[in-house]
Amino acid sequence: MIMQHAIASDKVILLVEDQPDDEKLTIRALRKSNLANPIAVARDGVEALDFLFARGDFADRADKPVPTLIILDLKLPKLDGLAVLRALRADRRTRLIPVVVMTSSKEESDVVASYELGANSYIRKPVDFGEFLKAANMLGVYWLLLNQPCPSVPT
Amino acid sequence: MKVVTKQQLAMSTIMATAALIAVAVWWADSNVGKATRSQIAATALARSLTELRLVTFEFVFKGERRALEQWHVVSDRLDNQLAALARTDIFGEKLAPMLLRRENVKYLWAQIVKTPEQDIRLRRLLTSQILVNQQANLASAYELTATATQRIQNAQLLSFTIGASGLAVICLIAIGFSVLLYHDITVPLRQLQRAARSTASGQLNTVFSVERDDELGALSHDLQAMATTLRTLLEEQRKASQKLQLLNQEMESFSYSVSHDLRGPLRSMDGFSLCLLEDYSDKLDADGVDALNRIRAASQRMGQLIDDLLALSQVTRAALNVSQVDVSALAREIAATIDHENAGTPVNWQIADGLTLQADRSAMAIALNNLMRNAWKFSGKAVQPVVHIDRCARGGKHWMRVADNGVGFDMAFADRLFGAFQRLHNVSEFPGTGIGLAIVKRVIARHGGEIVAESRPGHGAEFFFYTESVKP
Repeated sequence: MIMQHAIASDKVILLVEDQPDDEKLTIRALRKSNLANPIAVARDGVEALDFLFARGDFADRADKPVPTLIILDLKLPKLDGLAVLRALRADRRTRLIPVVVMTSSKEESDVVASYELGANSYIRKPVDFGEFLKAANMLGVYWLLLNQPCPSVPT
Repeated sequence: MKVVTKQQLAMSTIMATAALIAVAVWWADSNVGKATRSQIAATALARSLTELRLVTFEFVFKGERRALEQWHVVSDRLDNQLAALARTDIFGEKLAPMLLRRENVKYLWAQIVKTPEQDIRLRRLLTSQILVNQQANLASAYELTATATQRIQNAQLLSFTIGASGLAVICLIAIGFSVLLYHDITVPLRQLQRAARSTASGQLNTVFSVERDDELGALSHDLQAMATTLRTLLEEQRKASQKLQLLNQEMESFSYSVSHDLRGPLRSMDGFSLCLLEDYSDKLDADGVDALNRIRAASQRMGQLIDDLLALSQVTRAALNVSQVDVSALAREIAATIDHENAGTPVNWQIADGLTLQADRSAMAIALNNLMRNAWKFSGKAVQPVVHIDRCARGGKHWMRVADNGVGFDMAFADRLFGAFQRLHNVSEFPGTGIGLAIVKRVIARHGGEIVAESRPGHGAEFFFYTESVKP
């Protein structure tokens, strides 16, 4: 299920997260950082890819721009985060979207695999929500305000 | 038949042959001696006969009394010589005519002696008869000498033949034994050597196929048993290692879920408590705020405990990459980090130069970090905190030492010191979960080393450790 949290804008953030609590907290943290961008949420890997490639329920997104930032959890139902990352890095339309992996795991293998598959950042979700707020604030400011994205590739 | 039996057999055969040859040579040699003695006797006989002839002439033609006496002496000697020869049975029948002629001569001589000197005609007749007989005996004596010479030659030839053939027999036995040695020892030995090399190169299903009834057969059997045992053990080890790998995988996935899933609910507890504090602070009294803060603190503590457990399991699971670690440099790095994090609580770090250790660098960094942070923490209340990092020799080993002048601990609880989540001080006094020294102990244990601690309350604590090969 996809929820649009703000009016459609060209700078959509895609949050791929299966835990409702984490979804709610992440969105709260981003909003607390004064980021007004629309946030789309995908609850599993398949849904995330459907959204990105305008398939299935999201066929109507074919003419809409791809998200500006993807916040990706690794442990997901159906298709896990690493598989989503691999699929979107393999596609010309999505291969340049900044992807921030945000997960509970700090297993070295997960970190290495994420970077190897082309993640731009790897953040471990802290238990302390205060820390979480700081992290969300920093990543929002960096990727949405400071970072100069790649000009859209002509299709 | 056993090789040792064959060897004994060959040795006894050679010895027996040598003994036989020795007996034969001795026999041949004694034959030569006998023949030589008979030749000497025959020569002496001929000499006596010649002498007798001369004496006979002397008597017959000069008629001297001395010659008569001498004749008897020589004649008796001749008889003795003949009798001695007859006893030896060397010449056998050849002596019979000589003895007969001797009797004739003695008879004729008696007649001559009786014949008056004037009867010249009879004396001449008798004399010529004697001379004919004696001449015939002389010829026979020379014949005997020739026979004896021939005997000597024959005996010598026999002796040579026996010696030569004996040598040949010994040679044949030696050759036979070496052929036997080749077939019985060298060939199966090479076979075993090939199989052993093949086994040594890792081919544990090699067959040791020397089927024999001797020591080499037994050796082949033993080697086969050894290879089989080795194979069984390896198979067991492989199974055990598979099991271990499986366990490790389980452990890995367990840690993964602990890391990932257990922290999720804690995040929610902490996050939504903060939501309440932020969004509903106007509806909460002081007790409500306190309760929410306690929920948040507990969530975070549990998050920390989970992280510590993971760190502990990580230390156990990570592969070790052992190399020479510059402990002095590592300690200075850690000290700088601690100082940077805690400006305002200065510690006097006394780090000795040239400390090195054979260890995995990152594991050693984790261990040293924990030890130094402990030293820093527990010396924090001292007037002038000092932490020494150096080495010392104790019980024939070189130990690294991390010593502080902090609060120390009671040695009665020393055995609990290195247990996971064991604490010897109050949390409010010195914060921490109590995982640090457990991690240190695991790191040191994985390096095949040992760690011990010594302290007295109020007199600081000393930690000594070594890894398998601490370079002095």
